[in-house]
Amino acid sequence: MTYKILSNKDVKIFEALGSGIIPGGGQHFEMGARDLSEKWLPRTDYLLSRMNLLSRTGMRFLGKLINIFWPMVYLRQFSQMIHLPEDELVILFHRAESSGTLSSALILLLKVLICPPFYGLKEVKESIDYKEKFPNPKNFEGIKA
Amino acid sequence: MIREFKDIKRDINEHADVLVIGSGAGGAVAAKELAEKGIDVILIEEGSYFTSKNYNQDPNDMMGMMWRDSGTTLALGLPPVSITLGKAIGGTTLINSATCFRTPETVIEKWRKSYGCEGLDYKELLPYFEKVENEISVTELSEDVLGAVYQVVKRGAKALGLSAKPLRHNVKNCEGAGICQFGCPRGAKQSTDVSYIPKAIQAGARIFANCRATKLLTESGRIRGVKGKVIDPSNGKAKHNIHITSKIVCLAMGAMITPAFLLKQRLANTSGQVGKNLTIHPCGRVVAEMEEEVNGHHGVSQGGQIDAFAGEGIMLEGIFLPPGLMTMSLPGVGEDHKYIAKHYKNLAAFGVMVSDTTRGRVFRPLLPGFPFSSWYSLNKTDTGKLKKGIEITAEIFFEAGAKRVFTGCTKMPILNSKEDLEIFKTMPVRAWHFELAAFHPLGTCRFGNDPGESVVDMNLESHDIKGLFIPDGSPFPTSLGVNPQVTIMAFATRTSDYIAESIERY
Repeated sequence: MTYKILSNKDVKIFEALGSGIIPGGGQHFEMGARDLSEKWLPRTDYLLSRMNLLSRTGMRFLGKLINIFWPMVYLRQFSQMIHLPEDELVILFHRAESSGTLSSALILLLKVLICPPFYGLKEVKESIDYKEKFPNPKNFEGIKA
Repeated sequence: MIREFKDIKRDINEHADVLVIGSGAGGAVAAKELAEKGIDVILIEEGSYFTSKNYNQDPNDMMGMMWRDSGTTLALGLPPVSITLGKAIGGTTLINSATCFRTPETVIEKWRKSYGCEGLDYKELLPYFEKVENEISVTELSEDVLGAVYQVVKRGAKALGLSAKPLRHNVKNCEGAGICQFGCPRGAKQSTDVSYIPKAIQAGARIFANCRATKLLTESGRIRGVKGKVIDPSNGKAKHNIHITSKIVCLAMGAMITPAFLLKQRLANTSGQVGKNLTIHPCGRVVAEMEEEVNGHHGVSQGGQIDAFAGEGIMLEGIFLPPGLMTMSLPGVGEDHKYIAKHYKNLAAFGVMVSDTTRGRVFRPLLPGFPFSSWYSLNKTDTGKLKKGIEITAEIFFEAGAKRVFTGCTKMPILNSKEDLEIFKTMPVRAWHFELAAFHPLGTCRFGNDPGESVVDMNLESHDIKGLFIPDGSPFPTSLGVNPQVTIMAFATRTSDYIAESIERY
């Protein structure tokens, strides 16, 4: 898969971020962000590509900082976030979110790049029983630059 | 016909009587009104031209397509506030909730008495409101289209002795697709791209999309035209040059970009007021998890309002979002997050809009790629209003049978019972505990009769540069307390009348 904006490292970071926020399994619905990363990451890439250069660079840089520092701060581990198993990622994000520090605001910012891309996928909409009131227009021509 | 990037093969060198920059609530109205009076008009717009054939109801795609910077435009401050702006033919009217209010009479009175706007008369504005409402088909929708969230809130409000009323919308044959901010797939919303722009074209206005103004041309205190660039929308790169000469320029880029554009060129700022006095109507949102299935997405996103606290500067208005954005804005990761997503159908949401006394500021762009820089830090008074609005809305939801309520306040993000609400009420909070969004920037080139205190006069013409008009949200000296699109359109219509009457003098 080739991306317009995301590097290979960014892909791993955003995949880990997605897994921490939306892990697979559980009692509510089966699908997790990692299961569908090949489908939602290109959508994240599209959102980033429509931001200005500094915003998207900032977002990617933020991901890199979180990858290195959050495991140290919240799990006391000298390991990059991308190497953590899914259950530890969930603990990591739970601690970050409930820390009451800037980290909780950062999670909100990161969710912008994860939730809309993920929940717009057909299989995810089905798994949460979401259906638009009307189908797309019959003459839908596709999105445009 | 709208000429887009793909149709523009060489530099644009044109002349018109009036050049309009921006195609939102101000620019599109000015272009149509002037063209219909027989004036030669050119309108340029930085964004692309979209139709309902491009709308797929997917917020991810739509935010990337027609929200400026994918919706990440911010005013920095404590807390930072997301300010959503449209970038398309239709401007922000394309991505608003289609809610329509006339300017409250009390606001006009306040401007007249306290903000140097002597001569401004509410009665004089009434024909303009009527005209605008006809053009954009402002109507009251039936209860089923207003959506189930409105019914939930109505029920809760009634129990508290409050009255929830339906909002009026600029729509035709609306069936409540529930996705107003992401392009109406049924073509019901009468944003300016479907209401004013086609009429402007019919009247002879020339419309250019994907064209960014970069420099205002002036000579001896008079406007002479604009230079700019044709932008490739796929990569944002400038391709051709634009040079348009005109006797009059209507700068309608919105209250965030217009002042930054003027400050960058050090123009029209003898008063020192350009960029100051930014008001934004900061908004909090309260989400409730109900016992019953609500299906809030089956109905317009903004159905009802409670105006009982409008006098205190608190307006409660509906708001509902698709799952990607709703889950994004609620707390929780892992199983908690998935629970919320799975119970999306049980969610109801309502917004708290504050008529702000805080004043922010827009600066010239400090970083490359950004059209503006801004600072807005919510003051104590407005923080108190916001908290009170959230408390009232939470109480309404509990009365309506909510299992729990999400406050949008990081100090106590979830209320599980009325007892929790009582604790929340006594809790001291600061501005930065709230997650805020704003949709109505105003005030950054304020109008008034005194050139020392205001940027434009009561006809929205610059005190400094003859022929430069600002018919967007920038001239309004205070927040309105209600959604501003009808106000912007009414004032733009009024300004167009003035221009048409006096064009021979330019």
